[in-house]
Amino acid sequence: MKAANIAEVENLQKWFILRGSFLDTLKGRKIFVKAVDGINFTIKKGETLALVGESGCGKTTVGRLILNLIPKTSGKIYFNGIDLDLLNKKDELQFHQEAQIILQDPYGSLNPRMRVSSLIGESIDIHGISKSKDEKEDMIIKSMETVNLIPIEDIINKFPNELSGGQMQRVAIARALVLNPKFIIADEPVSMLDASIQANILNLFISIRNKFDLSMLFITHDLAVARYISDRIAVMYLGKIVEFGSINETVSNPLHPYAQALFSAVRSPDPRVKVGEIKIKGDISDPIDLPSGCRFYPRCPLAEDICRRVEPELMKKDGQLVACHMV
Amino acid sequence: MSHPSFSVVVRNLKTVYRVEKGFLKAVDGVDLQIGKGAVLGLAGESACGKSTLAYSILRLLPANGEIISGEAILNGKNLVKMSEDELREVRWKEMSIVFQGSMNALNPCMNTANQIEEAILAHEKITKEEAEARTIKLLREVGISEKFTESFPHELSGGMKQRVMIAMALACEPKFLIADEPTTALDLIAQRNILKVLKEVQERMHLSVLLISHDLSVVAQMSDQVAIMYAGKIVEVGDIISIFHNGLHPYTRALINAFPDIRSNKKISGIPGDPPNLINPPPGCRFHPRCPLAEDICRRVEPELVEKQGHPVACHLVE
Repeated sequence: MKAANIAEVENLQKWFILRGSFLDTLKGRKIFVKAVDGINFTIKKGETLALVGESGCGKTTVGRLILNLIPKTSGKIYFNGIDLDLLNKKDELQFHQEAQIILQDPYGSLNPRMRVSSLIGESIDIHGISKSKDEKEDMIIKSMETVNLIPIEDIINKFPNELSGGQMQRVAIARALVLNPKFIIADEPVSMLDASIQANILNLFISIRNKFDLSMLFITHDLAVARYISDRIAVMYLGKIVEFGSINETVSNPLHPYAQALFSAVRSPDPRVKVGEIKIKGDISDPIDLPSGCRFYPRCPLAEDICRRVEPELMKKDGQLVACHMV
Repeated sequence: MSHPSFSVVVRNLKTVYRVEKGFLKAVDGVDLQIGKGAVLGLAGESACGKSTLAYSILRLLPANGEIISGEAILNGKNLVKMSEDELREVRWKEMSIVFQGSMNALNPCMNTANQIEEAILAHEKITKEEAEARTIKLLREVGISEKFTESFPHELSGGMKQRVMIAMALACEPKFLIADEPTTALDLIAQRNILKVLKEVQERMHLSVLLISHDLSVVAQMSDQVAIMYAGKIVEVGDIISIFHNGLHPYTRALINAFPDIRSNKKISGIPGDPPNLINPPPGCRFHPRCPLAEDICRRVEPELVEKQGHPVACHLVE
């Protein structure tokens, strides 16, 4: 266990049980969705790791598993070198203070009947980190300043419905920051915002990360956003990581055929840059009825016999990790 | 009235919604022209009036929406003045729309082919067999193979449903198509495929298209011309290269600077503040409260959309 990593994930699995038909129940047959199916990765201290992939690939589930918000099926998660399975109640509270999550939809994640002051103050109370009412108020105001929720005296008593989408997301960030976290999971935090607001929030993430020396797991479907904010990137496909590496290397030279297709599909906001042809075919496979071997082979332009039979492991290639027999 | 090289001409169009607190001026004096066989991208942030403009042209406004002035001319006919009966003759055959969130626009109880046939038979006097044949041809053109013609919407992926919507919009061979956020809610690769299909049919059928998107990269990749909309008004319009590389309006430039590009290391920057309330829009230029360059005149006088440096722009500070 190296202390250079804030989080380590080993063979993490999450299988959701689906309710099958009556006959399935009678026969004791269980149907699983293998949302996360044996993944390994590390997040270094102070780095931002982007977790990208199309909808349904399991990226949100990974975030929720790392924060222990849902039970895992198997595998190990270490936070700061400590196995999360071994935490006692007190350690667990400490863990939930140090690791925070910011969700996609601030309209859904902020209680509509609480004012900004209580939305931020609630987490201070839960963790009992302020000794007096004044100290608590100072903490609330300081966190609002950090995320630029100004003028503070106007906003502090507002309800979420009186705020704009960008302001709400700032409240969500302030609420996480007030606890002095070491690690933040941001799950599509800008995908519901307009470009002009999105840019402000992304820059805010960068500034708080630098200011507080935070480590981040940034979950997004938007590869341009991933490129902008992260140091390393993990590309997921149907519950597996197919490629993992430094952001610059992966963006300029993706190795896995799926990552290649994904990156070549990213449009440029420059009309002179035309995007290339995509070589992959069809749609994402059914996560219940996964293909044998490599999960990507039904769509892969390079697929050969071995891909149908043997599941590829994530292996080192040119400084990156890639799970493909053909690379 | 009609101009031979334009398929659609919109003049001084104003649309309001009646809301509790008064009138929301969603579209406030818009002028637009879409050339025959050309794609005009309409870009702007949420709630700037893009979709309202589209629904005004199609005359599909909800009950509390009303066009209070202006005209929208399609093939020489003013759509704003048409009766419901006249509109029925024009919709589908001369103009049609691919809706935003069209995955929910399909009838869940009807198979794909039947939905398209229904639209054809409702508008054209042809036999069921002819409609069937045309449906299969349309579906093939958008890349849906024959084995899916009897599938129901829930059996199709998001991208396939969007293809069906495009096929349906083209069912009666219109010459003018509005695509309202055609790729929103689709995954990246599906988006790429939909845009490709849209571009192919647009070129093959020589369609005039009004492409609405908040995503500048969609507009950049698909359009010949682009109009930038802010708070119910068009602030700048021009050919795609000049707008993206030589945008004149501060809002245009700010919008482009806010957009991350995977192929570059540029620093993005947002726009301070939020879009204005359209019930009581700010006086003068509507962008002035967020504009880094705003001067006194911007707070007092509303700028007109006039030709400056080669294309129309509504800003006092552009020479």
